[in-house]
Amino acid sequence: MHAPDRSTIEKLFWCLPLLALLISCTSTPKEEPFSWQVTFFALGAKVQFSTEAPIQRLNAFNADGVRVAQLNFPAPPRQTEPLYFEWNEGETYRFEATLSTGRVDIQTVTAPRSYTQGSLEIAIPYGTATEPDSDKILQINQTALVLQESEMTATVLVKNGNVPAKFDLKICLPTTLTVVRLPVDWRSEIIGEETCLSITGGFKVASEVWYRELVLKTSEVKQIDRQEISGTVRFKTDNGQTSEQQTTVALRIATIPEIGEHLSIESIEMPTDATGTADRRQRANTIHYARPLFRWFGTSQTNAFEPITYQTVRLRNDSEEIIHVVVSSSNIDTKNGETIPFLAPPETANGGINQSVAFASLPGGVVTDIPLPLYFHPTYIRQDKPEEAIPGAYQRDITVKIWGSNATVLHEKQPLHLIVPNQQALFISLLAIISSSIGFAVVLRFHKQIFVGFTTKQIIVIALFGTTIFIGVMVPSTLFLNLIRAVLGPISVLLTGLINETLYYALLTALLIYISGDPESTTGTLTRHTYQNRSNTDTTTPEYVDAKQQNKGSGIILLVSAVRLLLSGVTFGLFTPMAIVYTGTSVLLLETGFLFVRGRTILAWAVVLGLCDTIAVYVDLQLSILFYRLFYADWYIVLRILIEGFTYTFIGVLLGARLGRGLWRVAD
Amino acid sequence: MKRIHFFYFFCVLFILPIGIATADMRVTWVRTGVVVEAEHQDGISYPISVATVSNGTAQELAEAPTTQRLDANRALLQFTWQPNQNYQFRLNNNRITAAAPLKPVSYLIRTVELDGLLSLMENLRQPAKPTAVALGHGSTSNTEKLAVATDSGHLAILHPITGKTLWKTRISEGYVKRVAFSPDNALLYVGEQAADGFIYCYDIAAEKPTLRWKYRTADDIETSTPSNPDSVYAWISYPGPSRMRTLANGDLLVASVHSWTENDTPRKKSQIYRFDNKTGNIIWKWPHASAVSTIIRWFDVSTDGKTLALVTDAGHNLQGGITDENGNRNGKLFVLNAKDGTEKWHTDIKPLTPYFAQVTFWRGVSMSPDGKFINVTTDDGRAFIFDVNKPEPIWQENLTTPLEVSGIPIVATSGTIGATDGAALFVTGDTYIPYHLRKGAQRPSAAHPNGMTLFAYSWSGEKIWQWQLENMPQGLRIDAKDRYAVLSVSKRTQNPNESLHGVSVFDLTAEGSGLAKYLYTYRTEGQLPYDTLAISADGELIVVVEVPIAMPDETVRGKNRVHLLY
Repeated sequence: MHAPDRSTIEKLFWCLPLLALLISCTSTPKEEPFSWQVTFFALGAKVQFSTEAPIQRLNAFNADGVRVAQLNFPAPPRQTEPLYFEWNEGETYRFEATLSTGRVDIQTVTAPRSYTQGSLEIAIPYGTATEPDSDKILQINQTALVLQESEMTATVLVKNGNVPAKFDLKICLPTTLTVVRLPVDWRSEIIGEETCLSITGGFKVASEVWYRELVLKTSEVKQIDRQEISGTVRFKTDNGQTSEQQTTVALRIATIPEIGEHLSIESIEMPTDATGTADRRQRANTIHYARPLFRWFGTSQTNAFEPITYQTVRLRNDSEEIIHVVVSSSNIDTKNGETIPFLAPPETANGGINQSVAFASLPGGVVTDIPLPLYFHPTYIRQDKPEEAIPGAYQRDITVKIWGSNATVLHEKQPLHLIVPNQQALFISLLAIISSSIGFAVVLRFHKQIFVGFTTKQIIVIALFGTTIFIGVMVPSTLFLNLIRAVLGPISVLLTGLINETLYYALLTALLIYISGDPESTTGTLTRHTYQNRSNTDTTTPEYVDAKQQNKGSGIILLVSAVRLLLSGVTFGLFTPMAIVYTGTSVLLLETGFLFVRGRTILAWAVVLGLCDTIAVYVDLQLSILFYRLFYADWYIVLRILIEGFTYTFIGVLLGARLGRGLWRVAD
Repeated sequence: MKRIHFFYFFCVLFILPIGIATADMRVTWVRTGVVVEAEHQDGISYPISVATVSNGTAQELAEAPTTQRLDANRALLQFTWQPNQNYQFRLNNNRITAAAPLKPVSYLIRTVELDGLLSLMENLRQPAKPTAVALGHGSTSNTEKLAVATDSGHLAILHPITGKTLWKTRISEGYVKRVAFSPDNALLYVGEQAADGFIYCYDIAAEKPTLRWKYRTADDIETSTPSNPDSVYAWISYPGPSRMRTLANGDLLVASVHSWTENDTPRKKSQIYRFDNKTGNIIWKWPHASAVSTIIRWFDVSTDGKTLALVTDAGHNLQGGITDENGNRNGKLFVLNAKDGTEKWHTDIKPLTPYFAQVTFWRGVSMSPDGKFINVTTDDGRAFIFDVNKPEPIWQENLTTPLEVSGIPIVATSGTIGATDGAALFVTGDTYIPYHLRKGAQRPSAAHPNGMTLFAYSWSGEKIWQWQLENMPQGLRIDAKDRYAVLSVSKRTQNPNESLHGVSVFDLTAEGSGLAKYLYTYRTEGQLPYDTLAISADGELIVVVEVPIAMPDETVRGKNRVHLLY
């Protein structure tokens, strides 16, 4: 083997640039295979692509090589693209598709030799008729599903071709169909067993569309004969050319139960997006709207003409054929069954009906997602006056009809919650949080002074009572509360309140009397502490003073509540921010209330502590509304405030007074 | 020298220069002539000769075509070419012979990116959008100005052919709703939809444009503070011009509208002004006493500036509707004397019950340039033609009124209209019924049979021609010669098969059906916003604004840019 000589290297050196030039000229990127098909229609030719084609340009040339149409695509073309030009019957056209790589695909296609002037569609229901291609197709056959013994709307559409023409239209109905209302200008005659309707019309310009609606009623099918509607339209152009087109629609008549066997609602999800994808982060069946004050929490902006969210109806079609349906949803007030104006689509979005509507062709054997938009208007006009949307629980009334028929095939109701953050809840909760924080800071700052006011024995007694309250109130309440709620529902507060409120306040009052003394005792309002001091020391000592003057008793509720909160938190994991805020507020209220009434009668205690607990229960409800986004019926709020908040507390204080006096006497 | 060396030098010295010299010369057949493109290193040398070729013989055109230079390598030769005729072009000692097609095609002169020009991305949290576009008056060769503005108050004036930025500024923080040039292109009027609702008049004849005058429409139609000023919809509740139009003498006509909510009560105020172009003084206001408490949706004025027609309604109400000052929910057509603003007559259009409780309009009124006829269309699908001297319609047609199926009314929009001396144009849109299905999901067609169609009627009400559109109409413009009509079609959709955005061009003078009048559709990648379309007075130049659109696979199609076309 020998090394290449210098001349060979030189040759290679000179050849390389040329080689590179040649390679750059000849190499082309790989192309995805695609196919395309050209069909002629009245206004030119339609090009149908098999896949997403990397086409940049379409050109059409006539037999003389003159370009008749061009279409440039800055973005990938649609599946079918029209090239508009006036073609001559029987002429061969060349179509060029220029790919993004620069390659040009060519097809030559001959235009139809016979051309039908226009077309006839009998759409049962509207929108489902087969659109005919103009070339050679003189007869169209299709099938329509109609409901037995119900009214269906058939739409007859005659489309004109390229020149002005007159037409004669004749439609023959089978015996099972009758025309409910015969439109003006139609003639009706019986031919054999068929009812034939006919009308004459004319087109002044090309591409004009003539349409009429026929409301038909189906009767019970007694024979198994083929049921079909046949239509014939004869065109006559101004220059005397005639053409004819026939359309046949075979009817498959079914009863509602028969369709119901195959059609079912798989699920209804809300909220979803416009494509039907559910948003699991959001609460189901709920529209959440933040009022201006809450916008800093981050909410979507509202536009009356844009849906606030969507619901998606998943429909299963178990049959083998396509079923065309119309799915509608209206939002109604469950109290009076009326449509809710602030949840209805804007008038211009649906032609004045208060429903969200979607049409779908359900293929056999699959589940089809049908998203429906939901609109929300925070303020709306009612009887010429502005009104605000009312939050609450409403209902979505979802119906599925066979498209073209007024008979409902499927019907379902779903709840709809409209949540508007409660401003009252926000203010009350903020107040509670601020008050609790201040209270907590004060306790931290003066905790020594609070404890100095009690003897060790008193602190032990307070801790004992706190533990007793925890075992007697918190443990059964936590263990059995859910069970009781499950059995009694919203009125469970009547039972749980006996433990939570009556028992709690009975024990608390007993403790207060035990430590601060019986307010109605003849010995005055001497505390146990002072009494002990008096028994052990000289009555003239400075410690022997009236408890009222020493302000004794303050801090008892705080310490009991702290013990209770700590035990609940450690044992049951109830050490939540909401529990802290509620306890803080409750302590603040009760301590303040007790400060004012401790020297007064037990009845005053009961009234004031009852009022304080009423406020505490109200705060608790507002905290739940804000933090847990809960909604309460008005009667429930009143029930809890009056019964649980005041009445049970009032009773608990009175009962506790008896217990406290007993303890006081025993200790005495 | 060895053979390979010889071959190489042969290539370099001879083949390459020949290749360059005979580089592609392309011709594009446009409506007003032929665009010649040459990739010659020295550009196009002038003159370019054009000859018809018959039976192998070339014959120079009797009248040499006017040449409009686009850049070094491109030029427009303005002449009327005949379809199916061979033409020979001689340029830089090269000849090319080409057969004229049956119809012209579009030609993209250039695109101008707007992101940098108008600071569209300045505020990333809420990017600005192009909202208004206007071309200067006069023929394209003299049209040296194109104005583009945004919803953040940015404004730029460009040279439409070169794309060069002549001036850019930010007039305010407001939404620029309308821009218009004076007939001599010396003044630029800008109407903002903002708290003050100013109408600005800039003197742009000087090298550095200056503000000549401005007028605060909020003094007449009040101002307001939106409940959520940060909302993208906040601008809707500010006062702003619904329509601006300059008259032949340079005066400006403005319809200013304010629709807002005060203490949860919807309020509306509208006023039409005629401003003196030099001083900004109000020549007249309509109504004279105070603003009308309805919405002036649109107006049109005859070319001679003598007659003005306008439509008012009580606004799109939400469930229930408010009434106008007389307790009616009718729409109204007013005809004014545009010289002094006095009312000639007015007529009421009653609601189409039971589907509609009131009458509303979109761009619902147009007047023939000769001022003889008015065409009106309502949102419920009805179309009317009025003689300018009579309050009773001389023709009425239910174009897209409801077609009821399964209790669901199928109705299509019908708010885009135009007029020439010979015809009233009505453009209908897509069905109102929203149907949102996944990509590829099937559904029965719910399109109104007359939806998405351009109808042309004679002023006596006889249908002349019609054309099925390929997508939702987004604006209609007709040139001053009544020859070309351009119609932008687009739709915000993620369905690729409904994703067709472009400008369809029609030759209104072509004999025959809609197919004969339809010339082409210039397509864009991105979406076309409503009303961001312009055509030069001679019909030669078309301007359209494109904005990006997101596709289901999260790719973005299109850009914020202006397309300048022949």
